[in-house]
Amino acid sequence: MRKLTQGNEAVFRGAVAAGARYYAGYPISPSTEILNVASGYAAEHPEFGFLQAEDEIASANAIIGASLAGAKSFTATSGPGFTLMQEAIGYAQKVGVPCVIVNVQRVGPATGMPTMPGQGDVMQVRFGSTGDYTPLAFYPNGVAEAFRVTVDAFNAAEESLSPVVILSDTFVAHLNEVVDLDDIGAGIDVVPRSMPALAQHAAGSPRFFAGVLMYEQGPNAGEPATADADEYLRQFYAAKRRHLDVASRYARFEHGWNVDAETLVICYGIVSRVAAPLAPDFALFRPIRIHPILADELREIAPRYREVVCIEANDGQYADLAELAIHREVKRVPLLGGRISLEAVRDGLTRVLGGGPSEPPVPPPPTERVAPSPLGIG
Amino acid sequence: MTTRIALDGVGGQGVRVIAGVLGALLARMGKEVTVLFDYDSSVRGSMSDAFVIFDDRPIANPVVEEADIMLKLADKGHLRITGRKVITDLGLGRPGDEQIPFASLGSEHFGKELFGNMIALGRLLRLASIDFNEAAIRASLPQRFADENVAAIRFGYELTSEEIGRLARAAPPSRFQMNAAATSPSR
Repeated sequence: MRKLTQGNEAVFRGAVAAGARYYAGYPISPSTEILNVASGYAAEHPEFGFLQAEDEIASANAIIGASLAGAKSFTATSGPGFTLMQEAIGYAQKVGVPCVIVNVQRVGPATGMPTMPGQGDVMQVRFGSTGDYTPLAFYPNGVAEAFRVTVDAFNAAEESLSPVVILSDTFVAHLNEVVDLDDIGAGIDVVPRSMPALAQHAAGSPRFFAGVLMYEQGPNAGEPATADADEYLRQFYAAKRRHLDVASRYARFEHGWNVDAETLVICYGIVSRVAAPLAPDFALFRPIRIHPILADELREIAPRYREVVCIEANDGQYADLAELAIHREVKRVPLLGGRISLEAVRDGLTRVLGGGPSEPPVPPPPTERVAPSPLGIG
Repeated sequence: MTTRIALDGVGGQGVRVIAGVLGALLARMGKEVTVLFDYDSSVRGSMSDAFVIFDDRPIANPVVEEADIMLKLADKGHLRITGRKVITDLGLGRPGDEQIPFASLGSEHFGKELFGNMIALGRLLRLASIDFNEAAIRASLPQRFADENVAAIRFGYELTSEEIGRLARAAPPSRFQMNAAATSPSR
């Protein structure tokens, strides 16, 4: 049935449609509705495991444990919680644990502006944990897409044997749109749960869970490989190739608006919705699979345009990655402090396309007292 | 045709309820709808805004920057946007705004000032040319106080311009008194 549905709720519904059986989380704006809906769902579905953990560290480790034991599992948080999860995310990358982590971004760093929309965690997803790894991440820009992308994330997690991230933002999370998720859900393909690591281990195919480099097969199976670069290369590239191979099957993006325009605008998440009135005058490239960056697609599309501008609610994070990918200047329009508006988009485009700086005019300090915001606890 | 509605208030006044009920009602009528909430991080007393857009076609940008109709239940200066038609609680408005003593009407006719938010919803329905379909409204409301809420919405819907003018002249300034933050000066 067509129903007014919230972005956060659509993520949860997508997870259930994809076969999720376990949720652990700690409440934090603007992701909390996912936890709320999960707890209500768990109360009515005893087969669905739910834990409100003591913090985000425990939440991330709980879903890893659930995944190793056989459940499709997920958690949701915002930037500060995602920071706390980085150790667990690195562990899941190293050990090969399929799970899904939702990061509904607000304005950081730290507690920052807890209910304001931001996109400052694009790089944290890519490089947040220690060491080298190749994360997969998706970023929807609406309610129906939040559902579909969540299913993709669970499928990609099973195929890549890795923690897959769904990025969202305050406005996508709190946007309500009229959708029929039953109808969308009827048409999805769900990748079955891969053999749980603990079951593999029990069946005689050793798996190791300390996060230390180990020989997993061959004459040294079960021994540490902590000083063997050859073994590191074998395991690192096996994982990287597997992740890139899976990513290539989910190369989701939108190339639209006026594709014959002179300027290509790159934006994603809520910014792509707010900027939509630019459609007659600009071309759009909207990455939905935000990591790994859609380098081949950008290299094919960007040369058709005289200028490439990235509009994002951070200080140029995706622009940096895009510039590296296409080897040419990407102009930047940063929308900072939660001010994601068409006016700010237009002002920024006029400024940078006129040869001005990416930095917006910074207002002088107020001379009169400004109404204070109550200190939020987020 | 796209209709953009902005609601500006503080936590506790029912901005989310008005927007949620309006959105559910429009969805039930087969419209494309976006409802977007924007709020600060404390539950009561700080900004609580909502944007409701409806159309017969899908809606791209859910953020309202120029509202066709703007309802102001508090004057904390959060929303830096303009409204072609502005309705406010009595005493909050500027020249040209339509001022209605929502809170005192809620208290006088329905026993609680909070019903003023449903009176405001009724006025919004009228201004947005949305038919008063009682069955659809009832199905879009929370079950608690459904009869009272339907009656309050009808009351707001049936207000005439003459009556609004008379009320504005007769009534004392009316604002939601449930929390001081709604009425304290912002600067």
